[in-house]
Amino acid sequence: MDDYNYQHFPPTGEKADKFETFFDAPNVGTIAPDLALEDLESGEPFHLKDFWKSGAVLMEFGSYS
Amino acid sequence: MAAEAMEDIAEVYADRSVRSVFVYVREAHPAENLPPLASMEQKRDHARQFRKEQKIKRPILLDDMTGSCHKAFGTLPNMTWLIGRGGLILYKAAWTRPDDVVAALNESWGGYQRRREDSLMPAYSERMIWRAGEDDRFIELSKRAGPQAIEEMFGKDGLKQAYGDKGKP
Repeated sequence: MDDYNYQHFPPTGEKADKFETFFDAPNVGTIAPDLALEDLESGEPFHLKDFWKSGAVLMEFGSYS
Repeated sequence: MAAEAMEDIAEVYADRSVRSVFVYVREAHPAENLPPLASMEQKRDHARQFRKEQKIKRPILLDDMTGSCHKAFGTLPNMTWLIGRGGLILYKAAWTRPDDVVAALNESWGGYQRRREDSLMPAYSERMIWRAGEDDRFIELSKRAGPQAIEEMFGKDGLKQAYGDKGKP
């Protein structure tokens, strides 16, 4: 966990400016992984698959920094 | 850095069966005011601050502390993914460029919705896109995180640009 939430940028051992980790992620045309996230508003767990039952979902990843 | 434009996109495409969310992951440039995340409560606090100060209306979903979702989707700091009905991945971008997102919504999701009436067949393409460096904007926005974020990207010159000759707030 400590390595993931690194103390200093750039994170050691990660190629933060490259795309290698992105290339390992699922490809367009395949099925996205379903993971549980926490809804900030309700505090309840939310499964990604619940989004795509009825339509599309646009997911932006990020943080305040 | 694209959150404001993505808010506008979310509003425009909400009536085209597209739900938009922001997935809050680790701090990309941890610093004095936005330190590295050590607990879910801290992540909630950072996300609430982000939502309030950036006027985010989209639902914010928090990844777990080990980055399970972030890692499954590529671990980069500002990605955007468009996923269609049934979980079909329609678009993935290593960096969020709002005009490219709009193009993907119109082409990939628009085509998906019209595929039967227009007798469309799926195809696949990849391409490199380019984004502005935005160094000045990064320095300005990173004042909210703190000097560490600026120094780790641009060194002492970045601190002088941000805070003047004294190099600190």
